[in-house]
Amino acid sequence: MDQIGLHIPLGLSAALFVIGMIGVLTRKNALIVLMSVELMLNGVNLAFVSFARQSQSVDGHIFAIFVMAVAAAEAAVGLALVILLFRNRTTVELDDLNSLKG
Amino acid sequence: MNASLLWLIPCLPLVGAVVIGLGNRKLSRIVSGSLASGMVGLSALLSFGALAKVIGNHETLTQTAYTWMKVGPLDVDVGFSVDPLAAVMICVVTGVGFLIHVYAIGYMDEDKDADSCWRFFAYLNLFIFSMLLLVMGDNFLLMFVGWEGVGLCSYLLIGFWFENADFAAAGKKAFITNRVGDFSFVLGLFWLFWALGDQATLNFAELQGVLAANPALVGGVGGFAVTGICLLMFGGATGKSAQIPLFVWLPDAMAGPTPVSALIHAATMVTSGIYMICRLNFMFSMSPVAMGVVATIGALTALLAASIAVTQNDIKKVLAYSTISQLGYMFLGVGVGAYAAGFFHVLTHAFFKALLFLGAGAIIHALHHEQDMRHMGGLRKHMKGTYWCFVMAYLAIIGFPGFSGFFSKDEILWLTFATPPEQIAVFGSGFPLPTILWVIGVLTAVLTAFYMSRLMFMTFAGEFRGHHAPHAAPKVMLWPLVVLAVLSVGAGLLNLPHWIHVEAIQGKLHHFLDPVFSGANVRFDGADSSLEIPVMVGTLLLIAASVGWAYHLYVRAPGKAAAIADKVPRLHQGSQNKWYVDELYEAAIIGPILKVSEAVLHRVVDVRIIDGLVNGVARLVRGVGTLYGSLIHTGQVQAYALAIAIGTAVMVLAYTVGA
Repeated sequence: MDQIGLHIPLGLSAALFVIGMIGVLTRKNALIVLMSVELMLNGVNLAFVSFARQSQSVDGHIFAIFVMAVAAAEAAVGLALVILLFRNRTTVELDDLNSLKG
Repeated sequence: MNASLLWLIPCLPLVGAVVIGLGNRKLSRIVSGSLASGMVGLSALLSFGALAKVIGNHETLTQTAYTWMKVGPLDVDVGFSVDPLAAVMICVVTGVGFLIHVYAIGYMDEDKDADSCWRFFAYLNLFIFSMLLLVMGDNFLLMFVGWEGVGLCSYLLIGFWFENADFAAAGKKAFITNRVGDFSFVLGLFWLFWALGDQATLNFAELQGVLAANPALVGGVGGFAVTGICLLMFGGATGKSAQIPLFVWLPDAMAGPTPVSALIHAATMVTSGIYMICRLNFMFSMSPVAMGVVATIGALTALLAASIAVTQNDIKKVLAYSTISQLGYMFLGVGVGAYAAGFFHVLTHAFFKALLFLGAGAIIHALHHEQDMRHMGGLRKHMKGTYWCFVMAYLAIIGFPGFSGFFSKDEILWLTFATPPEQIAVFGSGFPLPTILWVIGVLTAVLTAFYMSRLMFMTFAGEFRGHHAPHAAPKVMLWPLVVLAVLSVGAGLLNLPHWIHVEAIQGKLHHFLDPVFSGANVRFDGADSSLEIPVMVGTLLLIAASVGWAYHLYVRAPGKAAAIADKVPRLHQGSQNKWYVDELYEAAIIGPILKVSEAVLHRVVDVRIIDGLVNGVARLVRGVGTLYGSLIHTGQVQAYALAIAIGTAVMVLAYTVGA
């Protein structure tokens, strides 16, 4: 199999993570923020499998599968939260949700 | 008595105080009074045992209960030492104390006091404990504990009827005035401690040894340090023993129940200043200036107080000023170096002044708390027992030949006259200070005879001018009077003057106390000893004239006294208003202190600086919190996420750069 340098998948992974993070920090819609979190998780997954392949070990692969499972659960809970939020507040705009302020 | 039992003497009254204090309201007047008297009585028996032992063996009884503190070279014990001086003093304290305790059982029978009698007797016992500690302590620190303890008890007992705001204020005045003196005493102690350096000791016997071996430590005889130390300690004595300038509290202290006036403010506590100087005679004798100041202040106080007593109408006020005056005599005595004579007067005064106060108490009790002599008179017929006892005390205090006061007062006056001027060189050795002091002393004796005669005549002679019919004193109050009357008459036998020329009985007390005062270098050869008898006879004639004059003014020609007073209104009102000393202190000291306290200490130091500091810290914290709240704690979840991201980035960066 043709080898490509480790830097290419890692660069892609970092790009995905940063794009996801910018989404989390800047988008105002809770749904979009959740999607951005998925993007970040997948960026991390890509880094795991890249290193796993590089070091010829299965640990990274297993970890990626764990992350996917957690991500699925997180998506389920997160969506439920967003729905409940909308029912209670009729909005999912994060700027309007500041009741954490003491 | 065995020396190992010494600790029981002060501790028995302490036990009494604690038991009565814990029993409180449940103990009736009779029970608490008997318990208190019993404890002091036991203590008195032990004291007499100790005195007998000291007389018999010519030794000082000592006992060290335990080591109180050990700091570097300093070693302070809770130790008791009963030398001849202390032995006589503890017998006076417990003996007179016992009689007054018994008397108080009868005196405190008013209904309004029924619930607080236990408090009275507990304080009284606590006082005896403190006083014994003061007398028996073998070092400055233990003495100071007693010194403060008697001050506390004095305060508590003056303000015993604290529902009366004036009485409570009198207690406060006594306490604060004494604090001023105590401050001076402590400063003196610090100075002494500092001057002694690595030889520092607070034990009296060791101190005497150190000073004898190395007088240069305190600057030698007449040195600056020893003068300063003695003057500061005398400052403490002026507070406790009511001398100029701190005597103002004692007349007000008469607000306390009369047994308290007799015990604390006449017989015992107020003499502790004289006792202290007697105890430190070896040190005071090193400073002619300090001696001169002590003698001068004593003489001036004696005259000033006597001049006030002449016009007072409150029977207890007359006795209070008389006490101040007699205390002045004692200071005059110890000041010229006649320690034994000064202490002899402490002894006789304890008897006759306690008797005068207890007699006055019996009168006040019989007249339902009437203290104004203008509403008395003719009591001779109503209160025979009290009258005769009072007469004995009266004769003793004016110095009637043969009575105790005659011997003690005469000895002080003669030794003052015979003091060589350089011994009390406060204005230089050429100044005839002893002669001046002697003149003041004689003048005071004349005034004393006058105001005491006035008191006698206004109270007992003529017709009754009061409102409530008087009743005779109960027996429990009468027999302490009788015992004290016997002592007032006979105490002179303890120390008969040398001019009677009977070797076996003259100067007993003097010889007994000699070992205590042997360290003091004093002599009395400033006058021809052939003058002694003429001087005494002259004084007696003056006193007799004074009594006759009082008899004329207050018995033969009533109304004449008022006429004379009208002729010299300034003088009369000055004396009646206590020479405006209270007003002077109010204007010169108390007023300014209150003003400074209000304007500076309160408005600036307390409000601005102390409160400002506390409030400032609170305001700072709140400000930081508000800033944090508005800038960072926004409630925006994305702002938190950003903070986490930045924080993580910084940590990762730091880690990678560090690696």
